[in-house]
Amino acid sequence: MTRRVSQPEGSLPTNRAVCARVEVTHDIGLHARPSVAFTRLAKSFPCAIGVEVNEDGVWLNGKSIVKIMGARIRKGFVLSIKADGAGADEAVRALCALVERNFDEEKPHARSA
Amino acid sequence: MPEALRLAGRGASPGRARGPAHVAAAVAPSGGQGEVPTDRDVERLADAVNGTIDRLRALAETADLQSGAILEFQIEMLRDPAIVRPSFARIRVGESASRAWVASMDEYVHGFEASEDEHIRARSSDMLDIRNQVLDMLLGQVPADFPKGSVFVGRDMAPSQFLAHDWSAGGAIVLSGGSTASHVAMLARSRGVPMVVGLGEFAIEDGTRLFVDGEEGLVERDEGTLRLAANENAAAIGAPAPPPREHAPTEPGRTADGVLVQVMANIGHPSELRGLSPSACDGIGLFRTEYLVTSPRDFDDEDRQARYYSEVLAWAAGAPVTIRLFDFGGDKPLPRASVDPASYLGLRGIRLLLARPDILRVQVRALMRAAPYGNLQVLAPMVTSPDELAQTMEIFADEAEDLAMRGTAHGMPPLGIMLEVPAAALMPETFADAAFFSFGTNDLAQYLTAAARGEAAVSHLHEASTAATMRFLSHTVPAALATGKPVGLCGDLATEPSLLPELLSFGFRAFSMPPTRMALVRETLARMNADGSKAGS
Repeated sequence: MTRRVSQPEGSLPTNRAVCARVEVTHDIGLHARPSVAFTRLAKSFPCAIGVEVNEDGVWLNGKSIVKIMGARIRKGFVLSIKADGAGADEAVRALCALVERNFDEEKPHARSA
Repeated sequence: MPEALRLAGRGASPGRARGPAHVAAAVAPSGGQGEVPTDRDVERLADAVNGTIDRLRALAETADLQSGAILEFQIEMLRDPAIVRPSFARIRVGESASRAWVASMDEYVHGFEASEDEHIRARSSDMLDIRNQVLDMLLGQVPADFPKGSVFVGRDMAPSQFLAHDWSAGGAIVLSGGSTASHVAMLARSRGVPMVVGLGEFAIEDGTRLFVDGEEGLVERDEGTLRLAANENAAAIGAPAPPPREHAPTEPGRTADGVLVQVMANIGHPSELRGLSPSACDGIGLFRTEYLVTSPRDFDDEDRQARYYSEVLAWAAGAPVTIRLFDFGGDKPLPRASVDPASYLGLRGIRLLLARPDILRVQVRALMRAAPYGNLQVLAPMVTSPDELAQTMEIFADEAEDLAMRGTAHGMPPLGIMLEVPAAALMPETFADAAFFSFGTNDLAQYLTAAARGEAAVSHLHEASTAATMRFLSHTVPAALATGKPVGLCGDLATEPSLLPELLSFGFRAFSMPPTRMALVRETLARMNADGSKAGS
């Protein structure tokens, strides 16, 4: 299961910069479909979103699938996700949760009956 | 007499096909080298990117779920302004639009090609696909397609090329590079297009007639002496693979006189279920787990295996799911790199697993942890003697005890055996502990004819084996049924409508086959009685 290394403090006002770390547990990392899910979710928030991989000091635009794919994020990598601006709190929480849910790739497919 | 041609690679999508080779031009584009920079190059590139997005959107409109997801990914990449930024910078210092685009995309792709992770390497073909589509658009070139029914031969294949091609006339994919983890491999498996990857360097002339075996990973010259055996259905032979039907029958398989006959799916990876409705089949009759293994370290990853198995069980929502233990063969390193015909009589299937209990134990644990997610049964391949079954069951019992001690949720699935070794198929009553039997007719035919499937010189014998296989089944199926255990069939025989009456008359009530054949078989069953006679006659 995903280990969340640190969590955003729940009491922060939503308009401040917040940051959290999360480990990627998806088997093949952030490949095509997860990258689409991640950047789409990021783009749904008005705040700026940055992603740092394994604390390497480089912050990528979390809304850019080209940058996220280009980082070739694999299983076991630790992502730092930060957001600054309106909805920052919620954005970081939602993105961490998406990574923890393995990008919703494993939920059973919807059935009509 | 043309030179003998026989290449062994890795099977990426099962099935057999024959057809003329279409040798694809080298992937590296030559276009744009002589192009003169203009002051409109930024705009031209932006237009080409937008034009490509439009083209992909048009393709996505008619795509199934899985293809749609791949197209969505490409569209998202192209919509991201970051993809053209490095090209714009190059254009500003004097490069032409196409040169700038190719150079900056190549830089981007290189990072993927250089990765030691197969899944990341596999993404490089997606990136090259994006590069080439925009380049075609810039240069006003039509994206390269190839003749229907031919065997695509190249270094790699682009997902957009697969999706734009009309596979209704059959065909296959043969790659010197490629990967079983690529998007094209996933698409090929779900559409039933045979595919072989990793052949290394080879020379095949355009138009050469080829025979491709996507299960064994073999490509050979089709000498024309190979007769079409009755069991080789049209789809398997390079004539039409029926496209997945939009309105497949959704009722359980049933004969005209109301007897239930299970029509089940063969799969190699959970991703193949994305376009498939659980109501289109009566469960999964054969999940070939070998296709999950892309590198040796996958054998050790119990969590990964357990997730794949539970994903399929959850999809089936209570319908039976038969997962076969790893069926690797030969003395080759695992996963096998090539095929040695002699190995068909050697350490294969359960023999290999019992010789490598480290691999078997991890898989057994993963299966038992997945069991609570649905209706799981496990199938052991290549069983010859009851002793092999007993040893396998012992390992299940051992690992169950360990999981219980650790308090890990698990279940003990029923364990059945493949009947594909004649010595076992003739003696079903000696396997008292087997929960069920599944006749594997592809291997059975090979052992009955003493003709290795990978051996070109004897392949005509294998292909003409249908009559003997049917005779063999007529003698052995009653004995298997007499044990009172469920008896099914997986193999190409099940997909041939003309053989269904006879197979029903032997007493079979469960067939497993590629998803693309299920609708046809259900329709055929509905027109006959359970004794194999034509309904209404």
